[in-house]
Amino acid sequence: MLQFIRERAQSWIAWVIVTLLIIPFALWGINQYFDGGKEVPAAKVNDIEISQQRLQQVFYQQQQRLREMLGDNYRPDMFPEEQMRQQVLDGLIEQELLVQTAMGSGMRIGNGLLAATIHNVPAFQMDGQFSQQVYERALNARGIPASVFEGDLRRDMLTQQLYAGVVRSDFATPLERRAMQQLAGQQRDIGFLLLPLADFIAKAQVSDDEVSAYYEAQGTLFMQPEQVSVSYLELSAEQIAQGIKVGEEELRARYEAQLASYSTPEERHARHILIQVAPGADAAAEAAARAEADKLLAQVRGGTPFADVARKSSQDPVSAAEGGDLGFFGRGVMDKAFEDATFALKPGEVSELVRSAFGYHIIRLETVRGGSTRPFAEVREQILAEVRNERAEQQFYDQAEQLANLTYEHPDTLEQAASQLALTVKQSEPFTRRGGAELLANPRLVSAAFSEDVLARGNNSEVIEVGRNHLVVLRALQHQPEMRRPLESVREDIVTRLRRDKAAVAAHEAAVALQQQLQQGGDPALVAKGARAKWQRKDGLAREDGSVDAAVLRKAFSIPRPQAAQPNWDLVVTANGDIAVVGLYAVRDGEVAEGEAGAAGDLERASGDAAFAATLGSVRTAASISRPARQP
Amino acid sequence: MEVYRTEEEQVEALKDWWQANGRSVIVGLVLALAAVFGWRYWQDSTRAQAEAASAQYQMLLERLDAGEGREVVEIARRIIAEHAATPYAALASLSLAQQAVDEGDLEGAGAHLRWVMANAKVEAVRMLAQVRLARVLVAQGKTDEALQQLSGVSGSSFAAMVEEVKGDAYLAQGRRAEARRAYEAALAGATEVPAKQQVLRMKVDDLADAGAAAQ
Repeated sequence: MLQFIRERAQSWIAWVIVTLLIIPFALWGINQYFDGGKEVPAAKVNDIEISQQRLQQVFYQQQQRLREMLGDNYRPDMFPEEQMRQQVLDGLIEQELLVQTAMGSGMRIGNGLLAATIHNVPAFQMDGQFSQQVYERALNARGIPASVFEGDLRRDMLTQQLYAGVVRSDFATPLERRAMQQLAGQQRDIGFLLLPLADFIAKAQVSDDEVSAYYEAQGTLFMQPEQVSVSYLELSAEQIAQGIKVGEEELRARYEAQLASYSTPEERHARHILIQVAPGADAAAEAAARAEADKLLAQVRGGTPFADVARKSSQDPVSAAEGGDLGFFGRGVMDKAFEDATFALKPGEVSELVRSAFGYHIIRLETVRGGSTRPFAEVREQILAEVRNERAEQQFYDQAEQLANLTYEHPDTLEQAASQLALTVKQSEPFTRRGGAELLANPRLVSAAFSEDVLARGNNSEVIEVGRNHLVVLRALQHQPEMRRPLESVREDIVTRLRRDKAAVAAHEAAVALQQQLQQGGDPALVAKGARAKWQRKDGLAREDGSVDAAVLRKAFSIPRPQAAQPNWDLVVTANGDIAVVGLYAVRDGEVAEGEAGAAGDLERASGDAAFAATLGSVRTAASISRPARQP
Repeated sequence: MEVYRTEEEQVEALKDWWQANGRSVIVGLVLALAAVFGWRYWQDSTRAQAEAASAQYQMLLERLDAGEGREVVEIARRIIAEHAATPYAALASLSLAQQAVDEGDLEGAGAHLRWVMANAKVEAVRMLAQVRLARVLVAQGKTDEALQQLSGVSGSSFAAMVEEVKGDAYLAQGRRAEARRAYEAALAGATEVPAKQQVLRMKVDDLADAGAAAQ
């Protein structure tokens, strides 16, 4: 056979064999080759992997959603990243489980149904109609290829079908509805006696021995965390600026130089009447125009309102309609001759004829505004601050460099830098790793103060920027390791705690005694009086009654039903430590409204939720799920 | 392997081989092709069935959202009649059971749920139907039969549901202490479903006297 192949190697048979061999290599070989450096998946559900990339993508989308939902209130540290990542992964695993269950049982989403669903999404429509262009643009904008989007949608729809199939098919039987109406609408008649904790605290006695015993036993409660106090130099441009002297002449010179920026330009409000003269017109036309303008001027001078004349006769069509009004304008806007004439008028005055490039104008000045200049005295402070800041900034950079050099070259003292730069060494109060007050609350300063270089080696810190043009260098002054607070400083605290504990015990004992009296048939009003407690009756109490303390309410609905006329009694401690002796006198079940839905909706939902949880649990138990540790 | 001397001999040998085995080779090929195409055809038609049922079921869910109970029943019946082999038939049947309960037809609801138990493709759906059947039986007063069905539900994830229905059955039988114990077990197992916890809390509290008696 080999001989045969060798002889025929040049013929077509060889090619057939080679071709046959190529096919499997082409299909599987390359794939295998690329799989070599594959990353560890985020999770594996049965045989399907959820990649790190997929997890990252969904995690990112989730963050985006939160950011959009919370708007300005969003802070990245509100949601611990690792925890959120795990939640997202849980969600992905859950979805994968459902998809596998649905697919495995033979559920499918056909292309037709998928298309119909996409067509119904309003975001993909234009004028109420699906538009392929809008669809593609929307996906492009989110950077999702159509194939990926459609695949995801298909999976979503599958899980939705399975979810709805389990949850939305639940029901509440007539018996269940009746029971729920009876329970939810139940009313109870109660009475309770309230013993305020404060009364017992006032009576509680605490001895010194008890205090020291508590102090010894509860040592960890009274630890004083590690503290450090620092001495520091502060250099800021602001502080330098305060010390800079500027001569009066210099301020005045700057004022003069920048006069324009302290002035507002003058603007004038004028009306005009125009008789046009075409450019290059002959003398006759010129004279005719002038005569016409003179006539109008005479009318104005004769007492005809300016606006009327303008409206009727002005040849400037735009302003004529407005009664010749031109509004406010400054210098450099109008024709030069026109401008000069306008700025020479007093308010209310009408000009002689003015010849501009357009023809003859009659101008009336209405009002003048602006044109004022703020006096030196008013802007002196502002100029002073400007000059100081400019100089201070320059000095600040020089001094910052010196500060860095001096504190580095003399790592065991700040005095050198202080005296050369005329700064004062300040001292802080002791503070913990959580920071001190004001400047020392700055986390950079805190971490520098607790750094090994400063704390253990006793060196100056580096120059720390705590704000714009604001630097600090610090060194440790006194280091106080973690220690137990002395008894005296925590005595008050311990006494308070002990009294409260004792009071709670005493109150409970008193309440138990009262409960016994009541159970033996004592009259509650009298018993309450004897104990100086408050007695309250409350008939027809409903489950959501807000007029009664929440703990008392809860207790009222969990005390056994009274058998005879005698109420059942029990104790409950309220949220603020008061203790109540609660008696249940009677229970009336809620009324049953036959045929009505009643609480059926809530019941169905509760039942459906439980059904889904059970289904998911069952699917999860049957699957093999692995979550490899995350790669660093 | 024999060594052939000439080309004629080789050709002769091939011809002999073909004479002897040609028929079975052809039959084998035909069978293989038939199997491949048959399998593909079967797969295609199963998929087409599933997709058609899926589209109808989607419509059913829409009608359910719209509160159109009668249309839900119509569509569900059609799915079961036309696509009984698909998993959608069981889901449709669950909806039929729901509609029957809402109509007060407990007998009918029971029948639909039994159909799901016999035909569901997903084990969890089968168990779900069994628990629901037990609830319907309790409502019918057939508490013994209900308890018997419940004993057939396995799987720890259904335990809390089973305990609650047991509690309902015991309570209907007047066995208050046992009912309370069952509700307490259900409450302990319903940690993931707050709405259910609230309901169960009420049921447990209401039997406080039975609890005291049992201790």
